[in-house]
Amino acid sequence: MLRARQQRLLGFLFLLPALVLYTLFVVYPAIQAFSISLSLWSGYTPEKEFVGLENYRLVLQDSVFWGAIKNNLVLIAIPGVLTLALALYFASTLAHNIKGAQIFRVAYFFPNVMSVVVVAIMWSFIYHPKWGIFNGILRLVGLGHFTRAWLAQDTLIPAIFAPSIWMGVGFYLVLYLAAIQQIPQELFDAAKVDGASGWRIFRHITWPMVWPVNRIAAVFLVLGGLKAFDFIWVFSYGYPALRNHTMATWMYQKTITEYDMGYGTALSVVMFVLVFVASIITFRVASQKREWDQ
Amino acid sequence: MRASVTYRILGLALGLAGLVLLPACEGTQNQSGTANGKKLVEVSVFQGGYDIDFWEACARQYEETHPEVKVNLWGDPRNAEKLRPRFIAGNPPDLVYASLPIWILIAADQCLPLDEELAKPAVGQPGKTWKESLIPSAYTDFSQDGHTYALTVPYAVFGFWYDHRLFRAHGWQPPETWDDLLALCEQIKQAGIDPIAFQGRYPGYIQSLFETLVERTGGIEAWLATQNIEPGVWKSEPVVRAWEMVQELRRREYIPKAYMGLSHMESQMEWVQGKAAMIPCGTWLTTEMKSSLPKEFEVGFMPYPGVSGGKGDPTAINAGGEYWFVPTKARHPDIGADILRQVMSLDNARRFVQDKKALFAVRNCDDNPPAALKEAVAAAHSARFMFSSHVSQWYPTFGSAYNEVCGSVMSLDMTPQEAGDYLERAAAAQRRDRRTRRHEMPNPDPFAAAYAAVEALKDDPVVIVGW
Amino acid sequence: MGPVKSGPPLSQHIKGFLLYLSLVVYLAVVVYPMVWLLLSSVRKSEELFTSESPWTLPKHLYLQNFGKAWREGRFSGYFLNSVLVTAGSLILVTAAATMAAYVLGRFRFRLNRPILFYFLAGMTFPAQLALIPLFFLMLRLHLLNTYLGLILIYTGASLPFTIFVLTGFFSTLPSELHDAAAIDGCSEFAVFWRIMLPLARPGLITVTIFNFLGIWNEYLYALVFITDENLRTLPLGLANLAINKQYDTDLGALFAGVVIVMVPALIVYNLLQRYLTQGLQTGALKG
Repeated sequence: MLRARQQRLLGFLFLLPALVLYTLFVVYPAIQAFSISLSLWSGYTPEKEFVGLENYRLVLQDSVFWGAIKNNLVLIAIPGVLTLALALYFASTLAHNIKGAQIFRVAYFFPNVMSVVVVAIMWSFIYHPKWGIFNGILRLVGLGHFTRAWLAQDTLIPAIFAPSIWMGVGFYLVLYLAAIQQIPQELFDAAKVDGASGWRIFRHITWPMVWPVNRIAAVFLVLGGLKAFDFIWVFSYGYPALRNHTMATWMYQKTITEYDMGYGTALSVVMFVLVFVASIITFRVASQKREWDQ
Repeated sequence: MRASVTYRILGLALGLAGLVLLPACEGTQNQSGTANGKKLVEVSVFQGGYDIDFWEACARQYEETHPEVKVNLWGDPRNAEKLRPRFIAGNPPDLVYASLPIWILIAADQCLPLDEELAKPAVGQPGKTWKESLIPSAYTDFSQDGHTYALTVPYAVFGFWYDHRLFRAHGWQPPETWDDLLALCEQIKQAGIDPIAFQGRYPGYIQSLFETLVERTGGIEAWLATQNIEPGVWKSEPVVRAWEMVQELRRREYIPKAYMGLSHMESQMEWVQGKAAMIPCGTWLTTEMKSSLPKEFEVGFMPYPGVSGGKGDPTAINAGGEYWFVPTKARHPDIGADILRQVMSLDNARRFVQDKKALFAVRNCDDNPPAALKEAVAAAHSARFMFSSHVSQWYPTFGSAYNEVCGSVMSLDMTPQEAGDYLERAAAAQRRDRRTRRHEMPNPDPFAAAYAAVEALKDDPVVIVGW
Repeated sequence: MGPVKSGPPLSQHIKGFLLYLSLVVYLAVVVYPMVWLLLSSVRKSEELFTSESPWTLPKHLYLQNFGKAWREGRFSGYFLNSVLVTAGSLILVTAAATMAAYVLGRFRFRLNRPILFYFLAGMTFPAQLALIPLFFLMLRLHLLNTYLGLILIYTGASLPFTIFVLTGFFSTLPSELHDAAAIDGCSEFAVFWRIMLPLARPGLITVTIFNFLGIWNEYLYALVFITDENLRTLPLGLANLAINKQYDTDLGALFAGVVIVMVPALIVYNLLQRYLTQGLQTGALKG
């Protein structure tokens, strides 16, 4: 009918701009990246030399790359779990009309408002051995013995935990809060009347209802963690020690610092495949546990 | 109501679109060509510690002596990145001073050989060719197969910097040998001052000291072998010994641990404020710290000490410079080269040394150095020869490993033996790599001339090379 | 009837107190670095180097830091650039994504799912993957170093997430409205424009907040694609301030610069944050 034809026309026209923009500026370059990864190229001259899967073979042997993956996983797991735990804790606390809940909620989000680079710069000052707050607090409470250069090679990765959590809590707090506020108040009231303790309320009411957030949060954390770049980069002044690399920083070093475009792009392709697979797995695993959904 | 909001938004959007599309033209650099009948020549300059005023003055100078040419000189700290698309598109400037991967460009025939130009007369020095007016490093640093592809223009020598007042007050003397250095550091430490400051966040700063120690211990042959990543050299005895010595400074806390977390500016600040007695650095140090150095500070320079029992020459000095080159695909490469010849005139060189308190690769330009540079110049003059590290530029992957090891050794995370093994493996990988992943870089030995000269020196120790 | 217990037991009070305490402690943890940043931005740079303790108040307000960042650090220009690029990208991405999400969320056709996944896959692309090819693509299109080039790139990169949230959003809108409007004789476009779009406001605002934050603070692409210093965005200007030799010892100006970059983001967030909850509830948390 006319309606149907109108709908089809609208559908087509409406999808077009997004498709064009996305394909041209996201998908096409990604495909090109794959073609570059099959060549040997310095990026300074037009000449490229086709070498097939040579670069990928080298990636498999690249111990720094595999170490970098380990760093990525550590940076997902530890700060991730802590961030979510804190965010959920604060969300369930703030959901019950605490005095000034608004202030807390808005304030906790502030770190998220800043660019990661800014946060990294800020925290590199916080960690400064001489005039950083971190060492300052240690000295204040008499633990001056433990002061050190936190951004030195051996403590670099753990040093990233705190700023990641600091940035992440506000964001996931908002998500959790939104989910908790959808839980009908009657459930809570009924539970209180039954004499349930805070913990039981949490475990049987709150936790199942925030599971969708966990799922999204897990995916975001995995995505974000696998792309980790800025903190390492800023904290190491652009030259991370080999053991402190993440996939993204290693790719950057290979491509920009060592002019090995072909290899660097191959790294990024492998990285993409890993990220893609990981997010699908995370999503699937998190979806399975929906048995609690009523 | 709703409609007016819609129109307002549409209007805003259109306005923005207009604003956006208007300046959609590219970067405003004039490219070379012709204008008003004059030849328009483009020079791209790195804007760093030396700023660009000096180079601009040179450009104006050239225009005066060559009225048919208009020079467009522009500077930027990130000019290397701006130039990258230009090289790919095939329309580079006529003269370039930027930290590009020069050896990759050389291998891709993007750098004009300057041999013919070098045979031309030096500006302001009748009877001398341009080549003769330069110190050898200027044209040997970037030559391959007997051709010179780039020239080192401003350069630096490396050593320990100190404050004369501090040393006078405590009666300390610059050390002659490594053991003297250790003894001095002990004295300084007892006096409650940090013996040596270090730019720990950039561990590459230790390379000048390390390579000097390699030369001192194993002789220039050992050092040359490391530059050519010859099999076995990176874990050979002189090299491991050099790592040991460098690490000793950290083990004994002559370089206290705190410095490992400081950037170059921060550690240099500590030195300026008198909290540290010495710091290893190049001759750019005084210019870099000029806004913080108090007037009373008496800048002193001591070359790195000799090693008793070592095979190498105790006066040889490590240097490093920045290069200029002429792109082959430039529109007026001949004029570009000509401008460079003008830039490197003796008068200009002398002015550079006075104004920028840094070294310039023209002979005799530093006969009357400014106070801060006096001792550095004296050390460079009395050095038997200068040697300048190239391994990281020739072999970027190995260079990364090298930088890495500097960091690990200085943080006490690696023993010297481990460092040697690690770099030997990296060297082997790099050698293998060249066949499968690099298409150029035949085993270069641009130091053949210098090497031969050194060989000749062995019979006649009085002859001084380079000055 | 015996005496009724008045109020909750003591343990409940203590628990409540501890709970509240933890909130306050974390508030301090969040706020303190920002306060420190603010304090440092009005401190003379030399003070930063010499005052061993980070707790002292600045001797006097040194607002020149802001002046320095604004004029010498050229932040006024960078500010304008950031505004233009961010606004341009936001308009483009919101328009394109809203239209696409409307179709994907409400129209049933065979290619719906595949197309949706096509878009969503983009969320897994690491930024570095496309960096080099995009560079050469922009070079060929002569869009390197232009506002338009950067806007197009930001738009493309933001499309997956935006479509993700908005599709979920549109799919929850009741179809009865659509049918009712159709009966009234509204064209398809009118249904979209007059009825569905206004209903989608919370979702649009949510997505705009996140996109704004992402684009305003974006650094990597801006670094690679903008080399002309007149076109620099604020994060680039900030980085330049941090690495530029002149300002190496002028940390006060650097911090002032950081504050300048932060303030608009804070303002935008504050103005729009109450819509966040609603937007998220209907958009991201479904399906």
